[in-house]
Amino acid sequence: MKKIYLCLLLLIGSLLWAQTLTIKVKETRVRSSPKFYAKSIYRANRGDTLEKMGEQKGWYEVKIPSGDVGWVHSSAVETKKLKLDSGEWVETEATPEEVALAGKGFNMEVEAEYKRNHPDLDFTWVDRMESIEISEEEMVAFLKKGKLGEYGGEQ
Amino acid sequence: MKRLILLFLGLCLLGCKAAGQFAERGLGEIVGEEKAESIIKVAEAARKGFEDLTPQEEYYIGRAVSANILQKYTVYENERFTCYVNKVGMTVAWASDRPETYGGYHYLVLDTTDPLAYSAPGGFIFVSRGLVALMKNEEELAGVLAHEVAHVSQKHGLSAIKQSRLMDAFSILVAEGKKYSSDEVKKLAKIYEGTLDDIVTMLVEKGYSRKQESEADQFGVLYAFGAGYDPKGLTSFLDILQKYEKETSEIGLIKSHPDPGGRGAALKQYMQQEDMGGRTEQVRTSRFELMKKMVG
Repeated sequence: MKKIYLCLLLLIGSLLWAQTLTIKVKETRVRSSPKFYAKSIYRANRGDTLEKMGEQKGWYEVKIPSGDVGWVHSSAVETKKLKLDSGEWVETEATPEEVALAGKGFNMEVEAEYKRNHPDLDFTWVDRMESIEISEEEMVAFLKKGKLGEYGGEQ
Repeated sequence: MKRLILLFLGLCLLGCKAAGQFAERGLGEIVGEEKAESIIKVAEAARKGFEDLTPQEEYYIGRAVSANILQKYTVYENERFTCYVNKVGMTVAWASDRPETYGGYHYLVLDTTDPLAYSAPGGFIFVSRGLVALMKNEEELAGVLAHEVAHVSQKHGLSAIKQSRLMDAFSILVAEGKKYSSDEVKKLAKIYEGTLDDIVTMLVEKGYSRKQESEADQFGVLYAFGAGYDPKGLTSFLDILQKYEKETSEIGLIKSHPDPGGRGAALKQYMQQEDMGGRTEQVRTSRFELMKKMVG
């Protein structure tokens, strides 16, 4: 009987324990509502952890360091369970690959070596391409004018 | 049985705690060095194919594939037009099933009259002035960009990497130690170069498989439709492309995206089955025409 109580206690404890999400993309924004063009309230970088408060249609509600609550898209974070050799399961927010290969894999160091071997290849436009930024205000104006997304109505 | 449940729940608790602190303290400190070692062994063994490349690896592959594409073409330097293409591209990417990639989606216009469209892993997407010149409205541009986003979201580019290269790479990655030796970096750079060759060859010469094209078409119309565009934009452009293929000997885009006629017919059938319809808003067509004048 004691074991059953303990079991229930652990179950309740695990449900109450706030889940932590880790950012898996280079950089993302925590937004004031679950929309990509909603106001950005926090900039999160790869490896940052955020406490999950809830979820809605592909978005997680999270608490940011200031204590405020915002929304981050599920494709920017990851939660996976890892199986140990013993058969036990441990839950981490990182994928198995990310755990094993933190700082490894095809990375900046490998790109640098590739560039050394190919001095004819120019990455300037790749960098410039990545630096193109369109503000939330511009996107909202674009969507509104074009009657797209929530401003379209019919679809 | 109860013991098993207890063990499982206990591990859940341990796991949640570990999850919160992994980034700050390292896995070994949280679950113990022995368990950390076990996790890493399992994770290493789990890497078998292109699907197991991390988002960061996909990004670095995409960067170098892009540099290779840009070696063949000049960039069309028109900030206003590039910005417009990025806005249309972002709109459809946000409606995709993978709106956030490691480095995000980025769009660039190539300064060539050849009708071309490429997507490199991770979200680097290229369209040519020649391709835009064939289009009639924003729906068609959105359809084409959504098709390219689908190639990224479904990792079609990465699928071109030869399995043997991945196994070579993974075997180096499981090596002891947290940092590479200079010899390991050289070996990895060589494999990296091979993976880029595999992808560029598929993008520029061989083209995607028929199955991948069909998949990108279907996801493409779903993304465009989800964004609020008339999903007929892509089928309408495939009709244009089919006509273009008959009238000219240009095969740039046709080579990498074969059989526009057959694909268009299959896609129309798919859209009918899914009851997908929409309206081409004049306001979007007007702004597209304004932008197209700039491209010439």
